[in-house]
Amino acid sequence: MKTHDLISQLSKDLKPVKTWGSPEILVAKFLAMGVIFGAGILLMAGMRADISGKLHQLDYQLGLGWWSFLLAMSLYLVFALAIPAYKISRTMILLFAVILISLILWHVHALMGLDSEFLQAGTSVAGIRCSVFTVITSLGGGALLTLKIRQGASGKIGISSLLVAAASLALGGVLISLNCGDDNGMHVALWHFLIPALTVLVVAMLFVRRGLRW
Amino acid sequence: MKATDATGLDRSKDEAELSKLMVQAQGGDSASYQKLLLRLSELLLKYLRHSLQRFRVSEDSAEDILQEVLLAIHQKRGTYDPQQFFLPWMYAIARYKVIDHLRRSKMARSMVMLNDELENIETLMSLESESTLDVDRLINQLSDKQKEVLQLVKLEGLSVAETSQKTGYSVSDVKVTVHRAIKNLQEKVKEAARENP
Repeated sequence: MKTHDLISQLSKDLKPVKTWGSPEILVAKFLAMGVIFGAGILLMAGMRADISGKLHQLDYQLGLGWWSFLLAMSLYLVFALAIPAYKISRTMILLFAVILISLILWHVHALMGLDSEFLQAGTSVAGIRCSVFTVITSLGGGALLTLKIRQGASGKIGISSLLVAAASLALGGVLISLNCGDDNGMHVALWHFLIPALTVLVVAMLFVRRGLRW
Repeated sequence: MKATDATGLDRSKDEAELSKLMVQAQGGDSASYQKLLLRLSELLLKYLRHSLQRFRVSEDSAEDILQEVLLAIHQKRGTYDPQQFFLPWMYAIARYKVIDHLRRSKMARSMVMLNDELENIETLMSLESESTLDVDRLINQLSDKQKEVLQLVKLEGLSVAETSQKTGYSVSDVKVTVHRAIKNLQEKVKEAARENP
């Protein structure tokens, strides 16, 4: 086919499109969708029994806060990358790094000072329920996000896949914090964070990366 | 000729026209879209030939890549935000397709270097299309080192590594010099536009 024929064909088949808008608007839309998605999941799986008391504890607020910030920042960066030539400020990249490091440090902090009995209890295989919950909710959110990012045009597929993984994991992290009543630092670090993070990363590298090519 | 439009951006005449055509195309206006694609294909063909020549790849594939870029522009047209510049958006799509093509052609260069070199081509082409001035004349106003490096990169189409070998400057020095030279050129174009509005 010659270029002129292609141009005629594309012009002839043209349909109006809805524009993407700015990353900030997309983040707001996806966070709203995330709230609906999360509410549905929590209606089915249930909230932790002591939620009203926990919401007043600084440590719990911090954990929930880091996950929520990570979700918002990953969404912002992945949407910004999917818009060709969109300029991402260094401040945003720095903020994302600070949040990610803070989240990791928060999990490490939760492990500090735990005696061996608690550490042992945290590694109990019963915790696998929490990993399954986190991975399933992460993958659900991640699939929706991947479908949206596929419509965009990310020039950095590898980084976008990692950001999809971070956003998905953050969604799972928020939901498991609201669902699971076990506050043992080892349990949280291992079953809520480490295992789901590794699983989601592998899935992102194997499938999301491929799905985002255009 | 530049003017600040309703979006508050300081756009060249070409940039403003292309952006306007794209906005009309996003609304479903076929005639504007055809006009846009025809104008883009001229710009892109020049860019693609320049890029392929730079990477010592046969220019025969330029037409094929052009069609791939036009298709991508068609599929991704919803991501263009009228509040942003149009040409960088278009070149970012074209760059992705060129890198994809070079990767398939087993180009032995790092992605970072490919990206940097394509961005240099885009900036120079944008300067040429935005400015009614002779960019070559402006290059002559640069410092001797910047002029030497930019002429090797722009006119002779050498890569950063080849320029480094030919001049004896380190690779990072060449990169920084090209970056500074392009920045200076952009300043000079702005100055000239202010003096001759």
